[in-house]
Amino acid sequence: MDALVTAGGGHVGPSLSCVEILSSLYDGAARHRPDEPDWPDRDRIILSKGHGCAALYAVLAEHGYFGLEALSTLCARDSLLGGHPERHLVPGVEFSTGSLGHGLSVGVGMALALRRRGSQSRVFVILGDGELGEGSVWEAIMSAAHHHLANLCVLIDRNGLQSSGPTAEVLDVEPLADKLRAFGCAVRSADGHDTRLLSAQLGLIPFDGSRPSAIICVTTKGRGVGLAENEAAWHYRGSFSDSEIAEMRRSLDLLGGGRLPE
Amino acid sequence: MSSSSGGSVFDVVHRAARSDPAVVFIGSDIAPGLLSDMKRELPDQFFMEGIQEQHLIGMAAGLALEGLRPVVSTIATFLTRRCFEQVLIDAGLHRLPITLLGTGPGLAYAALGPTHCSVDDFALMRAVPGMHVLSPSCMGEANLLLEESLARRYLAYLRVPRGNEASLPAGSGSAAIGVPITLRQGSDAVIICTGGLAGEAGAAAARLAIDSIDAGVVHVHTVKPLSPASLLPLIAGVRLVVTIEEHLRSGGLGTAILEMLADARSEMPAVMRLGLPDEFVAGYGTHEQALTAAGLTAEGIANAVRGWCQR
Repeated sequence: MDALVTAGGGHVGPSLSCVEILSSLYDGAARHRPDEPDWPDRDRIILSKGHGCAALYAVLAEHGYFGLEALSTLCARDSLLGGHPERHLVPGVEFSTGSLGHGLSVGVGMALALRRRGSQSRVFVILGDGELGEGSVWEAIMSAAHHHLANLCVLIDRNGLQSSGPTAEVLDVEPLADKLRAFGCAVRSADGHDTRLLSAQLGLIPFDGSRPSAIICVTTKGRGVGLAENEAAWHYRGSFSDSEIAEMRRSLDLLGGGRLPE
Repeated sequence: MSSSSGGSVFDVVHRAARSDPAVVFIGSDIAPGLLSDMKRELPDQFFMEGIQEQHLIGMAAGLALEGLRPVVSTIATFLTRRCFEQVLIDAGLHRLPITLLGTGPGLAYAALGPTHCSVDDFALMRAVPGMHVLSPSCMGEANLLLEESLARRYLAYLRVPRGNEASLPAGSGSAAIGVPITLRQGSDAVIICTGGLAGEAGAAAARLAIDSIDAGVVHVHTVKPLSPASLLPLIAGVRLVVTIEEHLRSGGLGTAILEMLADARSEMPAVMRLGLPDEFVAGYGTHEQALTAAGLTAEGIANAVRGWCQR
């Protein structure tokens, strides 16, 4: 949040909804080495909803992929950290995303290649629920199931809100679990903000030895910042008013983690 | 590349895959018999996937990020239009060694209508930074270009020529990416052609010679990147440069040549771009009929040049 405030705007809601999904992966479920981002045996993590990258940057920095001070450069002209993550700039970023509906196909390709060489590495792809409107996502899910990619896990940030309003009103994705099952995934749901539950679910993958796993992570967009929670207008903010910054600071202070700049 | 290779570009893929396990083929629901030998011999390197072009380019990118070198093939229109963003971002932005083999070049599928006529593929693929856009005159040349592209780990789009004609254009014993091929010298005009039009261009020059118009012919199989160092000397001093292509007049070879000339800041010859108008392809019939209607035959080309000279 420091970074977003310093940047003067950004994708607040979509970042806050996927923080715990990312931290559950990087804090335990995923095998990775911050000092060796290209470690061949790492698990691959693709944030297909690239606009949530402020959360990814924070988690990567916390794990030492780069210095925490880089966060304050978010979206600055010469920063490595842009408004969407780029692989060739940011250590730990597996794939440059920003245009929705790309990440899962790339994950399928990685999972195929990893299986072919007998690797134990898994591929985790984080999708937004609004992103599920992209047809390419469903092409990829069909393909993942067709190829029995048990080494692939799809995590859906089911925050129920997209840029213009609730997904139920804009493009209803329900019945989501049934759809994913019908497309060949082994599906579970979890509270996407409960890292203990999420980690437990992630510890159980593959849910089925011959199918891709999917976890519907039920989340709240803007989680933790009262005025942003479940507010479509907080999907992307071009700027913050002083009172908004003060309110964000109050919210994060309540969570005990706020360090917003004065 | 020292010698011509037999068979088609698909045989080149099979041979490359045999010698390098990193080379994999991905087809999007193409002919059932295609590469059946490779499928049998190298099943781990052969994918015949569904009708899902966007996904397949992304999947190819994922494979390439893990060190493989995918060759993806389907009909050229679907390979360039449907999944343009995946080609641009997944393959292009990530600078991956992915080869795209687009079948049905230009007006080859005229009978199948505008959905199947690949007449904007140069424009689309030229817009991808780092993309090599290859438009060989015949299968023999295509094989050489593909071998080189795979060996150099290029990101490339190649228009697969019709038929399995292996003989290279007259006067050339080889083909190297970026190097134009002079098929005929000429002092009045130079016809710059690409793809399967080399024969028509040569025949047009022969007709023009009867009218005392000395036209040269240069075949450009590499639409991108053009090589000004190679091309500019070939057209130095002529009054007229004529570009011919089975493509819209905008965005393809003719546009690239104009840009090259403008950037070179040398004396600008007149440039006549022959190709297709800014309209959807209309009418069916054979490939030859479509070329005739578009003025892309020897007669059409010669008439256009003659008209310019007589104005």
